Amino acid sequence: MADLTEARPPATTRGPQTTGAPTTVPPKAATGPAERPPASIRVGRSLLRFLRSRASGWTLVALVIVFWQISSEIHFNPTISAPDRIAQTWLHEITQGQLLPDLGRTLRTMAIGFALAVPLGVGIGFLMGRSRIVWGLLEPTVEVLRLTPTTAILPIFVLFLGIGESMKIAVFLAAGIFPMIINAYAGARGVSKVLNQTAQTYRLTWWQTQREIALPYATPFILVGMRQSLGISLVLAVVVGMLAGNDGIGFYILNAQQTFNINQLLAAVVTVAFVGYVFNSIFLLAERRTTRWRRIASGE
Amino acid sequence: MTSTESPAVDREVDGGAAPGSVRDIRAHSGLSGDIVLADAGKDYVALDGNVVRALRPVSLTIDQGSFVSVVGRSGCGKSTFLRLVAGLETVSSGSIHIGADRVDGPPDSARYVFQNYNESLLQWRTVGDNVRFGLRHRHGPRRAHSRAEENEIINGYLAEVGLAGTFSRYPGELSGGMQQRVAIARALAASPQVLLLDEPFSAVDALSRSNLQDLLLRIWRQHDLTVLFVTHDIEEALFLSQRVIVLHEAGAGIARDATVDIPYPRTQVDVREDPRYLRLRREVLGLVLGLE
Repeated sequence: MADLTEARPPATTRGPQTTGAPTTVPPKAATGPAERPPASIRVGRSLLRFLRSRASGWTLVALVIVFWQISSEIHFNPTISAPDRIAQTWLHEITQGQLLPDLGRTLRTMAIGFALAVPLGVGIGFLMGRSRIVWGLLEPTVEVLRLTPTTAILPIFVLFLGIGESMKIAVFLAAGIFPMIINAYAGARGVSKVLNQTAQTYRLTWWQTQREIALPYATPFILVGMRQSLGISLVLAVVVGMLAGNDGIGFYILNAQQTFNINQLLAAVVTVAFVGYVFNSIFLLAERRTTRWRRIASGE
Repeated sequence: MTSTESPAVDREVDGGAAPGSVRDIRAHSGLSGDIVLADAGKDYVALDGNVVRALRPVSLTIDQGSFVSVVGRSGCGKSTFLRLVAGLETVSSGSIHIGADRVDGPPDSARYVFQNYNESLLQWRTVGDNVRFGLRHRHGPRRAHSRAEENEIINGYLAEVGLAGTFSRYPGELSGGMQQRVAIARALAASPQVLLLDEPFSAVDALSRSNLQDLLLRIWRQHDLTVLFVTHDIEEALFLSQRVIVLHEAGAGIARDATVDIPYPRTQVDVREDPRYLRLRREVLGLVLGLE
């Protein structure tokens, strides 16, 4: 779920700044009302501004939903259902059904796994980036394990931990820790020689160097790691619930499918998508805040 | 002005710099803050196993409070020279002392200004907080300041380097010359006795460079600093320094140790027309280019 946002260069990402790119800024007091450009140009400019912002993208989403609704009115298909029915079911499931309790249970387990993965992953990755010895010791293990699909290890976890809470936490930990390690490593590794020598010439202790130089430098990387980690965790939250769960959102979806309750199924899918979007937005916001200096420096 | 290459000089290597003597030079007057290199040289082992000579052992004394430049072509060992004094590299022969302290790691009394100001500054901190970094990691006894007092001190240093009013800007917003001023303010905030500069103005445009040179001379006199300045720009070295050390190519040691006998305050226009300056420029340029 993080892919779309990562494809863009970070300096020019979303937000009101990008909508106000220099060419689209309407003329201010400097030109005066007497020199207002003709209507055709003004319309052209606001159209361009609309196309460049994400408003056009959200309009597209709305149009797809409207098209979906209309096509299902014309040609009723019970296996696909219509947005208004899904919305009705969703409202009902949220207020009275099992959707929220199941989602809540999944998110709680996920939060525990994430809370373990973040400090462990940051610790390991950061130390690997700062110490050649730690890197030499851990790099092979990390490389082998991170390329092993968690879904492949899942049966092992089930075998040893059963299908209870501890198995799920272990899965979230195992899946979430590697994006943390990789990104924290990249951040800690990226501290330039000159910056390290600056720390040396100001006679910083090892601890001061990490705290005042390396950790602030690596923070934007660590936040990217957290965002990726959360994305993977959400995928696994559903998969684990389907493969080995007896409650949770994955179980809920599987259950809806097996009872041919299409509206319930799609309501759950939409909910998971929404949760993913909210998580992603929160971490993007945090990233923006910690890299404010970079955008200011590049004059945006 | 002792060097192994020119035996006819009059100054002896300071013998008072025995290792293990008192630490605080200024508290025990009588011991000076001279920088003394005694047969200090640097060899390193290259990847292919060959020993490469970065700097042939040199002996010389840099007086406390003097402004000395080291010039030479790329690869002559001038940066190695500076990095050895800065304690960023260790000598493979001989020794270096600053005052009574033997250099075996970055000395507390010295601060270093890098050529790559944009890498050396903490880009995620404001200009003011970069200077705060220097203040918090300052030489000698650290007094506890309230944050307001600290800010006042920081603004003082910023004003001194001509950056008043930039406290809450980020380094990336400033021009190259201004960023190097931040780096100098940060170094000053650490109240060093020795300022080491490695081609600090070479990435700065020509006009800003002149301004920075004037600034450095002002700071040197104001703060009683010993300045060791490495550059490949001979005119810059001659304009700034009391003494210019010319290094041979490929770490072969000192070719010339010249005194620039032009009084301060120096102004850019006057110095560049001064016959003493022109004579030295001709001589040093010839030496560096291999004409003599």
